[in-house]
Amino acid sequence: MAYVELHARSAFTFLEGASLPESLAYTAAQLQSPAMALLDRDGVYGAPRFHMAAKEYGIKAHIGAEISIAESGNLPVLVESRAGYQNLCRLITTAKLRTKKNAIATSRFDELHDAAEGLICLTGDENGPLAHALQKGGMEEGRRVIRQLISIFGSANVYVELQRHANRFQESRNQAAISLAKERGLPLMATNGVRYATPTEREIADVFTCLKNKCRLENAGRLLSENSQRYVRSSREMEYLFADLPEAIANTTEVSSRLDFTLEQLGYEFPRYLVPGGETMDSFLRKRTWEGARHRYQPITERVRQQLDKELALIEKLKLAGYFLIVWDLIRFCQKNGILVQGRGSAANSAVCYSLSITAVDPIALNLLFERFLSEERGEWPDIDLDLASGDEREKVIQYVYERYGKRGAAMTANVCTYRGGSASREMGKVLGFDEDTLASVSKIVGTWEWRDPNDTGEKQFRSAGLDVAHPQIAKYLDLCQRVQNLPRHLSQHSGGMVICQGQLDSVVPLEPATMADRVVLQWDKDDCADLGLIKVDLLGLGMMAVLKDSIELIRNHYHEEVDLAHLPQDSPDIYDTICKADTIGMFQIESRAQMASLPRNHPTLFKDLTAQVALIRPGPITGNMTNPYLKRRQGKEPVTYEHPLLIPVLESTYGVPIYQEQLLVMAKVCANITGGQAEELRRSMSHKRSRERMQAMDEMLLNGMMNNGIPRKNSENILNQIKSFALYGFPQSHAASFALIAYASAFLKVRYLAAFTAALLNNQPMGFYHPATIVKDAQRHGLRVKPADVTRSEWKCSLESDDQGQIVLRVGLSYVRGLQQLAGEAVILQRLKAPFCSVEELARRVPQLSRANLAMLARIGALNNLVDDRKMHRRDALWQVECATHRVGPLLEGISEARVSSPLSPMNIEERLVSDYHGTGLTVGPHPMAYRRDTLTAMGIIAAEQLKKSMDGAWVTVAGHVIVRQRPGTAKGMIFLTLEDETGNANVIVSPQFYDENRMVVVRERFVRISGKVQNQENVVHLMARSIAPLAVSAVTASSHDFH
Amino acid sequence: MYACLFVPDFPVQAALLLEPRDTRELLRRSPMAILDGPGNLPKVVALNDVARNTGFEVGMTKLQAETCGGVLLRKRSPDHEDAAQAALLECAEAFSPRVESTCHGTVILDLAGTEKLFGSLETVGCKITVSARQIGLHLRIAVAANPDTAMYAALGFAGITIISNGDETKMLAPLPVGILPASPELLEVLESWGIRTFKALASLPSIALTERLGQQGLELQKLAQGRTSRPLRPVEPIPDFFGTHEFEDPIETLELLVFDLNRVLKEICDRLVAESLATNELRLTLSLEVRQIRDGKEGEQYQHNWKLPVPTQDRHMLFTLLRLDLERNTFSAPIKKLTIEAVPIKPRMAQGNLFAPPSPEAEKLETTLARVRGVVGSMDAEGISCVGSPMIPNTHNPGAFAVQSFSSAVEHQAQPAIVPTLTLRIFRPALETSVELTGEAPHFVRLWKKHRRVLAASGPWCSSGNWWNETTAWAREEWDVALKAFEGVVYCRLYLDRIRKRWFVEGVFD
Repeated sequence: MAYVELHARSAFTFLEGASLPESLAYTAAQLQSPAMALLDRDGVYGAPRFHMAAKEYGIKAHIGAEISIAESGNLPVLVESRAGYQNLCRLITTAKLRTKKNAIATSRFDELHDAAEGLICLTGDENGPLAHALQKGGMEEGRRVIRQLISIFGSANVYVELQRHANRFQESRNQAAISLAKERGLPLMATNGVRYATPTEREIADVFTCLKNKCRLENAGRLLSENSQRYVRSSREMEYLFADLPEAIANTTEVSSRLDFTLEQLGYEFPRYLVPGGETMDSFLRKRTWEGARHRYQPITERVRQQLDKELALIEKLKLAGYFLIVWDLIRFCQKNGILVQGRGSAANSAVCYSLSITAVDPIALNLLFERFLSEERGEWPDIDLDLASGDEREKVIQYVYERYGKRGAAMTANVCTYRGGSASREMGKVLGFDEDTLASVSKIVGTWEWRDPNDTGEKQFRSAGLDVAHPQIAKYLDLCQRVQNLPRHLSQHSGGMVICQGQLDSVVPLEPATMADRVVLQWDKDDCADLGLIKVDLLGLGMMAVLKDSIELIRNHYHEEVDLAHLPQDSPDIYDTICKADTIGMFQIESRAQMASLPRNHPTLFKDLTAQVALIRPGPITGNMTNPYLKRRQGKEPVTYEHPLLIPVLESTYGVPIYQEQLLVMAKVCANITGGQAEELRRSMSHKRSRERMQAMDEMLLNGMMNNGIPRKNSENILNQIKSFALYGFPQSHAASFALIAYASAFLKVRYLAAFTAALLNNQPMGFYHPATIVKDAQRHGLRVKPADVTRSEWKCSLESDDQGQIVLRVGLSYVRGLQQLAGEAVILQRLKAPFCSVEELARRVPQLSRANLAMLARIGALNNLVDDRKMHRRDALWQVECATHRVGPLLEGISEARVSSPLSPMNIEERLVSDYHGTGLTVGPHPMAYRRDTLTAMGIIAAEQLKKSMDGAWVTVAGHVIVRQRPGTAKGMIFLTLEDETGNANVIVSPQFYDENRMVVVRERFVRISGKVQNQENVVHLMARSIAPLAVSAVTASSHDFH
Repeated sequence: MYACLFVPDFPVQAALLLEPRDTRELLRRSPMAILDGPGNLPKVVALNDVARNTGFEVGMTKLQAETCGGVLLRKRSPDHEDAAQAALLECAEAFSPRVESTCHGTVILDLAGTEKLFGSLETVGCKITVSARQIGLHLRIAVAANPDTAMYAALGFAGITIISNGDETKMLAPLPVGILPASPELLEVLESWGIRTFKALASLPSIALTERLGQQGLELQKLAQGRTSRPLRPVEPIPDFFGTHEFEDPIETLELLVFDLNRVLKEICDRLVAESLATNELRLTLSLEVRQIRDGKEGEQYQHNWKLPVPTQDRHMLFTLLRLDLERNTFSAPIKKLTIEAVPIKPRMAQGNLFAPPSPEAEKLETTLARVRGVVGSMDAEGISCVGSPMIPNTHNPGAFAVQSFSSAVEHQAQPAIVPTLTLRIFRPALETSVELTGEAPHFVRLWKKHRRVLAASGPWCSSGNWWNETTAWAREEWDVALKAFEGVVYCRLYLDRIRKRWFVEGVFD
């Protein structure tokens, strides 16, 4: 007699379950259970992961949920059929959508009536409706609830649930339930109300209980679980527990056999596009494609015609015309509304997408592989990502999708936030009762770099934070931190993925409101959606798109010129000269340290070089050791060789080195004779969900294929290694080309219209690699004049204005004033337009939205200096007035105070102004803090960043500056890259893992440092290898660095 | 004139006071840090100069300090600090009868009229320094015309500082405003104005300052100018509420004892009334005559403390309490001496809550409870109070319970109705036993010196908790069993302490 657990809850019942669905499925499989049902609270959040894991472990995954019923507890229901699943999803959606985010969504019994078909109900555990009724009104109330459930689900679909967790009260409730079941002739069902896979995870469940109830373990008392019995039990254990009620065990198998539904039968269908009468979707798409092609390709060559015919035929065959038309419809909406949009990703491999204006790259000219986008064998939906300017415009497009397909027809995909180093240490510490300071120091030190040093253990990190792991409570703290890693914490919405569905999406997956108004989010993340074949359109907010759009507007208004991004002068030498010099701060994709280090060596002079540059600095090519050979071969320092002559046509354009994903797939095709679909399967098999078996099978297939083509074993293995090393982390050429287009546009705008580009960049922060302070300093070094925030001149955002000589200068916007709300900032501007302000007191009076703290902050950063017409105040004059303007004096003192415009305070000195600037706006428009100390620094033998660039290879030098970037990429074997900024530019420093270990606190914490070491100058790419580091007392400014974790 | 004695790094110096003189001076020259905080994460709260100069900082964890090495770490002790403060006061009292104990590590004394005794102000300063060094404290001393000026000067300047009348503003000028008793918000305003020293604050126009920072700003400015005048709050000798009576001949009867007891109590209560004080704690000590001297013991004492829920001056009530206690005790020897001490406290002034449920007067309730204690005793074998309201603590641990004192002011919370099922008479402490198992169920249990067969068993009922703390973690497995007995069947509850791996009989069902 086998037992099937039909009431298990995973960690996706947030803070009420302690194991991942995969771990529940794994444990059930280990115990040789044939099936298991996952019933998370008011949702099927974990169902896809449970389903995939169960498939892998060879057990059947039943789906269900606990439905919260108003004042009656949680009703467990199991899905018997697809109709039942759809009913369940709709039921949950209805409750969720009428409830605020994070509140408990409850359903009503009358709603259950309408949704009961295809569902089997259990009477529940101690929080179930039967237990509630028994507690409330004894047996009589119990009878009433049973009658109610029977009337809703029918007597064949109601099972009286029994759980045995070694608890006397539970057993007395069981006895009552058994007697009620006998009265009504209802079947019994044993479950273990699983909340975790193994007994030890009860500790995590207790911790989660504390987090949910915002209390500490010490004072949680009876909120915690009484024992550790709610784990996945074997059949033998359950049979022993229910030896007196064998039918309760037997019924689990019987019900399991009734539950036909699995997520394989989801029934998802992409919506159809409504076409005019007499047209089919295919014919309509064909017409729109040729229309577009005539505009894009002038003239349409035979090659173009063949390619379009081939693509359209395949689209028709795969019945994907609707999908293309829907995306085309979105593009049309953007075009009509003047919204900047560009397709990216593999869609750029399609000539149809190019013709429909979905993408901006001609795949035929670039020889892009269509199969990378769409393949007959793959049987998968294609993936089209659209880049939109982040902000309001993207929101307009999202709202258009909701409007067109209905609130229940489309939804954003979810994003599962999980416990990571910092969050885990903070929350576990809180539950164990550690103080705030300790939690802050632990979360700061717990390594969350992209690179994980294998020796950088949790224990070591705790020791670095000053915690003694030998102490039992600290050891428990560490243990909990490690065990809670990767468990889901909460659900947020994905940045742009939208799923649309023919009919109603709410019958495929429950929907719920997002935190943002007018947004609906579904319960699965993008990987779950992909696993279950849900097609999504990614409407991604790309900060640089917004920068480009804003720049064009500023150029129109201030330079009185019109820039058309689609027709930028291509291959302009001045633009490429700047790029080659790695003078790329603020430019899209090519501003990172690694990009800057390779730009002078790659020396791009054409668009295709820029495309290669974008693709080159990716984890795939870097870890696959392809970056250096590519650069050397391009410079002619290394001969171009091929592993096999068959690869010459594939890799000729990239000097015999594969740098694009497509090249790997073509390599596999030509060397091992695999089909396009198999090549794509190869790419997927190496994705982040890689399976060892699939990888091995692929390896064998490729090696055999290569052997058949007569490629020697050694070369075959080299080729295989190349393929495997970066199939996942490389860019497809189409994607690189799409990005290169934006990179070129950003470079063009920066070089030609620096003021407009910088203002737009500052107005779209945070984005990119650098803080606003660095962007401003870089712009100033390029000759831009930047003026400080000023309540008499500044707009809310950074703006451009003309100076006395008619030159365009940038004015820092009020949005940069720390703590100033947009409403208050805009009120200042509105009042200023009505009449200028004459004093601080008048400003405070006319703009009541400004708090005392706002006024003080404006005064501190000098934004009130020009408030009085006849004389320029200094910052402390303004501060003195602010305190008076915001403190009303009584009648006694009124009239006897001194003249309001003078103050007894001394003006701020340079250091104080710097501190105020950084504290109040995060940047300074005055000289760099290092500039004030240059003489002293020179006397100390410290050279400037500009001098470092001219230093000889191998020279020993000392540099100093403000640490603006700290990065430890996953591809750099533990190396840390620091960028120091001074008034002359940036100095690049490399910190070895061992050096980091010895100087961890200085490397991680200090704002200004002095670093000595050996210069590495290779082909004008200059780095300093750190050999000593020390904090430097330059300034107390609180400028922050951009640390990439 | 007032002198302020300030002990820098007071917790460190307090810890050193316990050391022998030679060791102390040696330690003073070594890095030393004082730790405080929870047991799992003690942090440095005070340092001496040597440690500070070596790079140690307040806020470091114990592990960090140990990792840096070379520093002597001591745990903070409030008792040591109280003792050091008492020593400091004693030192100050040798020079003036009017001494204020401002805070730990700081005392201010009134030097008016001491010139003839101790000489000039400088001389007094030197003498105090010498005297303090003799008891092991290194001081900073400042003398000024007002207590606050003396205090800030002592906080800010090393050695002995004498501030002449009229020089206050000039002398205090370089001190940082951070030492003034200002709120963080106000200090932030001053910082934003660039006001960082007493001088800068002192020179601001007073009216304008008041307009901006209110009275608090003006007060701070006066402090910075050294222009405040406040009376000293000298440490008053604590009035004595202590009475004793030594019997000419040791007495053996209660009647003789209560006569003198009543008299001593009356004297104490009269003193309390005279000082407008009451007491909420009474300590009785009876010295007994020991006829046989054993193990070097020369006598025995009987001691008892009463903590009262409300302060009282009522002699009759206190007398009843004492008499009730004495009545239920028998003494092994005649009584030689009686001592009564009352802990003084301000009397209760508040009116009772008009809307609270009616309850007996606190004094009457206490007397009744004393009578109950006289019958049932005050503590059980496990040290739990026998008189009070039983309370179930917030834990799943079935054995846990607590007793809270009766109080007339306790709010009566509605308790969930408990449906009586079976009555379990619990053994406290539980009886340890041995159990033979069949499978995991008990088969034979040893109870009342006999092995008894288990006729029926229900269980196991499992519970566990406090898994995060090794010392308080518990886990038990309960069984309700029917045992065969001579007179029939005994129903009892067993449990296995899973951590200690021992079986106990918890109780017997009626």
